[in-house]
Amino acid sequence: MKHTKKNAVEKFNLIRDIKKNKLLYLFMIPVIVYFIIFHYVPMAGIVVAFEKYFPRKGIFGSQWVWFKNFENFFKGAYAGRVIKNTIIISVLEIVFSFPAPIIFALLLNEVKNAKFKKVVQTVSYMPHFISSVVFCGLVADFCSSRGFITDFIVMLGGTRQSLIGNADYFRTIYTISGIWQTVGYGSIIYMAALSGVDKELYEAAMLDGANRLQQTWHVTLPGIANTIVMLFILRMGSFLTVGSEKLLLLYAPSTYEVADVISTYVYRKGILDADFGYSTAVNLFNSVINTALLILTNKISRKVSDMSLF
Amino acid sequence: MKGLKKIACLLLAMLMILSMAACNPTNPTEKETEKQTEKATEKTDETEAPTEYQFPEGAEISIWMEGINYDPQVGISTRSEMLCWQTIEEMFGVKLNFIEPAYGTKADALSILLASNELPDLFYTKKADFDAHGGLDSLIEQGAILDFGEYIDEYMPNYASYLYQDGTFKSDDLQRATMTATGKIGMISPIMKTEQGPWLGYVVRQDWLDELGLEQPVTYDDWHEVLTAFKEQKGATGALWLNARGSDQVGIFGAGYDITGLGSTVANAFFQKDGKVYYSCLEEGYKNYIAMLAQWYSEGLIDPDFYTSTLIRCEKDMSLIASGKVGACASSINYFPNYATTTGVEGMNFQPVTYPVLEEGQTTHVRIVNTIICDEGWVISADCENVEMVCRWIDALWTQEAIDVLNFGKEGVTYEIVNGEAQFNDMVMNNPDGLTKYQARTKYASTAGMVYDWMRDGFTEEVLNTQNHLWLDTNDGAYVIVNKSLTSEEGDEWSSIMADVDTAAVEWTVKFITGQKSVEDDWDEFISIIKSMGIERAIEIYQAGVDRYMTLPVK
Repeated sequence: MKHTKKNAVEKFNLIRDIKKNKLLYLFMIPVIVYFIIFHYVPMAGIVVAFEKYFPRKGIFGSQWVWFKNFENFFKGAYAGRVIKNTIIISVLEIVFSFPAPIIFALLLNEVKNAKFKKVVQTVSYMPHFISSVVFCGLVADFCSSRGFITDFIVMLGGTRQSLIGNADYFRTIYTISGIWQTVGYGSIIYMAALSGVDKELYEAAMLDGANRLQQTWHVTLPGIANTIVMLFILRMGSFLTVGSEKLLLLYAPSTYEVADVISTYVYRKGILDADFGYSTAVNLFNSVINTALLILTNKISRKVSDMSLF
Repeated sequence: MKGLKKIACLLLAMLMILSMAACNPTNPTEKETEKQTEKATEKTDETEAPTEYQFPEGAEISIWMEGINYDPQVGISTRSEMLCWQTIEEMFGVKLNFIEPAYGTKADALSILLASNELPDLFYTKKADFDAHGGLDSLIEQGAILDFGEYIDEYMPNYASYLYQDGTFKSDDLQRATMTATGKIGMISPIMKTEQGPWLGYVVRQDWLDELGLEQPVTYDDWHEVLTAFKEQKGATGALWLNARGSDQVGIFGAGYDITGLGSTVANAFFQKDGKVYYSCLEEGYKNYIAMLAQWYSEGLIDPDFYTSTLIRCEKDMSLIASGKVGACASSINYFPNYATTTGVEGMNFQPVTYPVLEEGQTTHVRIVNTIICDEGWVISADCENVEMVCRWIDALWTQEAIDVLNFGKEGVTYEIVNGEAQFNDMVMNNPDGLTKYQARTKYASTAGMVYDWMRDGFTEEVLNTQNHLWLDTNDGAYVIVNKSLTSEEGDEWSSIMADVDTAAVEWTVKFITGQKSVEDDWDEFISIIKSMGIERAIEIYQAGVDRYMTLPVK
């Protein structure tokens, strides 16, 4: 998370630096160990994607099939659908769920009554701390044919039906419930950024005759732009990683058409059908796209705004 | 400042040690083993095991079984609390360590377990659970499980005497039912004490029928009339209960249309006519069946949320029956006679009816077929260290004492021997704590003894008549594929094709029923999709498996 100024890294001597900051490096060790054990060692497992893998035979004993798993996926009946769904749900999340905490933070920032602000914040965090299973259970219940949201719609003259089981409404329910769950907690980082905006800038803007909206637009937003861009790049890095957890808990065969994404497909293939090689191949494809998108967004951002992750 | 540094270093060191400890899978069994050895020695002193089954002191067996469907009234959450298993432990002095994934999650748990490569000594589960992994033959070939074949002669005289001698059943039939495609024995399944007829059928609320002056439904038209009356006059919002696949456990409800429907497992949708294998969804009858259900759904005769259910039968969650929303469902003879007492709803009376048909007098061909062995059993893993001991232990379960214990619990506590036959006593039949017969049985006895006495619940004449006549006489079960044997390559290919096809079949079936797709307009699209996934090849494989079954080499 540094600004890219190439001259700053010139003639970096690692050994001298370690000697100088021994304790700091010591602090880093557990984190490095964590990443090696849990993120780098398992990477070797991707060779499974090129095998007809049986756990018992192991990586070396299983038969190599090279690109057969990939071929099967792309020729198969579900590749088009799961990729399409993943992209649509991802775009929906980026368009609606990503800005929601920013807007929420900006609104909260304008609230002057400190007590009210605290209460709103606390209440909005709460869904984040409920387990996904319970949260999705609630959503599914509210939107079932006898749920209170359905009751409400019937009251307004709609027909009684299961909303969660209807493919037409699934994405809406998924997106809105996602915002409900994450908006409060997601706004914390922006609240922190907001508190870092120089107060004198507001005073200067006021002297220039800027109203509230203009102050937000010209002072607040530029003040937290760094944070927004940074989080946006990170978000793009997981563009195709739509959280399977919530989808698995909410979807049903009647909504597979719009709700079945790469990660849920990988789960069904890998865990339920025990087709380990195949599901690894699909997930590897997913990761390659993600990495490409991360690098691309980072590059664009560096060109356009001189901000980037690396 | 120096002191601070020291403290920081110390904290850091501790943190690292802790994180190391977390990475390193510690070995908690060591201490336990010590304790258990002590316990085991105490126990062997108390009860005398038969001399031929003297197991080494401190012997332990780890067993993987799906967890218990917890019932707060029964209050038992693991098998080590069950009287029958405790008694078995005492009898043989072998400590049993049950590994029980939560009820309803066994498919995931089994995949993860097999992928982890750290297998328990034994599995006890349904044969179909291994289908996703290519079947038993494939697992033997992969080296994950062992072939019992060679051990039976050597270590398992009791079991051999059941398997290789004609008794209640012909030895040839038993052997075929036990073997894999290549003649191996991957699973040791309980044998039925006596042949059991179809224990599953449809039941309807007789009290409502009587009140509304209706006859028991016979044809689908009758059913329509009855369900409509239930909905309109009794407020049953889900008058007919179907599972999430628009069917029931084996696909009885659609049988009048000359197909099986999706049943409850992938294999249920396959059926045979004169030795030729068919897949239900490709048949005209299935289209008509689904069109009928779609009509009923639009009229509100089927539970609007039926496709979100995870139950195999609605009686697995008695609150559904108790709610009064259900007027008809598929039920087991173990359950429906007890509906009223379990739910406590006064006047509730479910009575069995014949299988629904298109025209009166029609014979249907799909039902639970007469079973001679259970579709579940023991599977021994390749990680089992003491194969001989474990095989001898399984064989010990085939002694008469152990058979009684697993079927009935503990002698003098839950059963008595009357005229040489074990029988539940009042602890189960009239439980002092107010448990129903069925609840008490699940508390004390196993789901199946090695020679499974399905009569143990003491059915009334009426209930037995249901099974042996009402659900048998109009149905010859001829379409049901009882057994097939696929080689490991076939099994792999079949399960890989069917994973896609089955997902599509369920998805489209639900959409047709709920009206999101039209049976008239979109049916051809559905058929072309499952054809493109290779359903025809899957049928071919299945056909080969069915043909091979009859030619298995029996001893």
